[in-house]
Amino acid sequence: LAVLGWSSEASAQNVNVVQAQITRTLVSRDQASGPYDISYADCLSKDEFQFPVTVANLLGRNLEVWLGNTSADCTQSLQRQQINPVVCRRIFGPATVAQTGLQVSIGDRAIVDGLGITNCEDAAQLGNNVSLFFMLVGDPAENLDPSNVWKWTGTIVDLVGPLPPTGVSVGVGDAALLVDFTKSDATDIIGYRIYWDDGTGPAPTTPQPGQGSIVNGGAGGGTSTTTTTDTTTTTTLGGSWPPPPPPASDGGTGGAGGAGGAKGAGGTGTGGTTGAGGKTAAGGADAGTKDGGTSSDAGAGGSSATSTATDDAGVSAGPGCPVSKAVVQGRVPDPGYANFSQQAGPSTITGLTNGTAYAVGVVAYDKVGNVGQMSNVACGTPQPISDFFAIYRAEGGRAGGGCEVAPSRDGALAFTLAGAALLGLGLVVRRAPRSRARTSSRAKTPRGSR
Amino acid sequence: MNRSRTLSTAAALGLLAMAWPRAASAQASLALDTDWRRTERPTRSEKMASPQSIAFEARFGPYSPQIDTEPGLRGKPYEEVFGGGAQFYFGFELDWQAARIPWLGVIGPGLGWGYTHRSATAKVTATGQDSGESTSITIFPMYVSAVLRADELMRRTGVPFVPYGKLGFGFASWNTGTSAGASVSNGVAGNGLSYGLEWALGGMLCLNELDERSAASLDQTAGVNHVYLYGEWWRMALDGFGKDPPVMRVGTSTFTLGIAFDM
Repeated sequence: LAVLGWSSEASAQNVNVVQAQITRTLVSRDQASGPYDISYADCLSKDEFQFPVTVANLLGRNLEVWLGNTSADCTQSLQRQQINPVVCRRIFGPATVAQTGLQVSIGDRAIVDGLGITNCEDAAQLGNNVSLFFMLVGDPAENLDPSNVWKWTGTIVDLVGPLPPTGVSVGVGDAALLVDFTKSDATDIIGYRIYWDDGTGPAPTTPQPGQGSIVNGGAGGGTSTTTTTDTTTTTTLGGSWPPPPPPASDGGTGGAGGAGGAKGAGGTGTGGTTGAGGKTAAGGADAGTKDGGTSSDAGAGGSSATSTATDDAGVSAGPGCPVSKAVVQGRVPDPGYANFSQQAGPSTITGLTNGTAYAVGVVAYDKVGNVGQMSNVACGTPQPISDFFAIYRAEGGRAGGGCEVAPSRDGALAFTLAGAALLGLGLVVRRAPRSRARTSSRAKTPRGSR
Repeated sequence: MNRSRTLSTAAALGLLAMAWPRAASAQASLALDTDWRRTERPTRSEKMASPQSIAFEARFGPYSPQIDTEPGLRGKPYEEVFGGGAQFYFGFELDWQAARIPWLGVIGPGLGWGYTHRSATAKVTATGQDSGESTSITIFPMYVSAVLRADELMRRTGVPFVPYGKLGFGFASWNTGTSAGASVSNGVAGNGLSYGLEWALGGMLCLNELDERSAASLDQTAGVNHVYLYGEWWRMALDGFGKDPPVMRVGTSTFTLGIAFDM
């Protein structure tokens, strides 16, 4: 009887949410843009989901909301109680609720936390599908009947922007730069933003989502086979640093510099003691530009890459490039930085100033608005261009300026002739039916009657 | 004076041709509306044929604008920018075969439209080096002309060859630009309209003889009387009739090929 009674109680639980009435306090996106997804910006905000919940047959139980991934079944007590690895986390409740009129507010950040992501910037995975279980729970050890639990699977946590395009290059135009690049392979890309900076743009003031940006510095230098004892790079992410154990005494080639981080601390190749030094430390943002031609002369490493963005001195991507804080490879641009053009692919930046050097980089963005890291930075200086018409005019050509027929007597004559020809055409067209009619009537008329 | 006389003569000929009093478009009507009934009696296949009143041409060929021949030019800007060679041209022409001239052929007005475009890498003014931009010229050659197709030879002898000639008024809308947009030089927009005389001489090879059964079927199903391959020497003398300031001489003298249909 007790078993039957328990079973009856469990099956009598009832929690329901009208999906169409789920709202968010700050975020409003259309259906194609993931209206219930959580982006990096959403994570940073104080946005909350509002779930209008109706419950029935409380029977002294409390309302709880548990979060798990798509394969989790938080109705099972074992999954709710499993600590390592965590399968389900409670993100709301237990709350004593009334039968009707209940509005459950769950912050975006609570959902992110429920996935074990402690900082919005830390997320490394793309698209975490989550499941929310709205349940009436009494005994923690109780397995709940799934049919009496309302499960929400409409939210995807995506805090990381798409991978950037590659091979960004610019061509010189007249007050313009023609930007070309190879599109990213990422599947969640909606479009690209082409950023430019003449060296006056500010450094990002917001934390950087994803990995390997401001806080962590650039990726370390590539593989090195040098015998150097001078190790300068302590970059912790990316690359393959520290280098493998060196061979005996033979100087080798320094590893290529890694991509610079926000603070411009690139990995470097370190020169061998006797052999050819590491060729470049070019990956470093503003520091790693030394050729490690001799033994211990290595580019500056990323050891100081823990500075914040605000004291960033900027980065020059190469000769002829301005020192830019706003457009830096590997960095996520500041949301408030307005010098960008949103495009579906390679495009032309117009409205620039001839003679001014610009750093140009491209980022990809996804449907929820996450902006990825900056591509490689290319530079260009717009210049006046001699197009065909300019050359034609410069060499004495006098045509142009639109239709020039009307002011000329000859032109007027020519158009009169054209008009006359068209008029003649019209007359002939009008004659044709009569001719046919005449022909037809003749055909019907007996020859003798003519 | 001579120019005006030439124009007047051309116009008079064109209008005369188009206003030719005998509408002879329908082959079937030949026997009913002519004084040459005995000799122009239609053949059996012509009796079976659908009425013929229009001709359509699809045209292709090289196109070399004669821009560099403009009087007063100190250089050859077209050649300097786009180099030698010709650009590809394609176009269409629609003729109304309004009248038949006995023992000669059909004559009527024709309208032609075409397109040709050429581009090259623009240079940086200061250095002469290639820029990232391209520069281009786009020309839409058009004409209104009187078209005489001497098809009586084919009709009477069976030789599948139709010589023809065209004479009319040609004009072309042109525009220049770069990959960044339309060209403007010192406030002058890089576009305009050029005009002048247009004429052509050509010959058409009738393909009906190759497969008469298919040709008859095509006529019955689509109303196409004849299918031709043709070659034509074509002259667009778009010099603005000597207008000053001149128009850009975007006309050409070229050879075009194409396919034509009588319908």
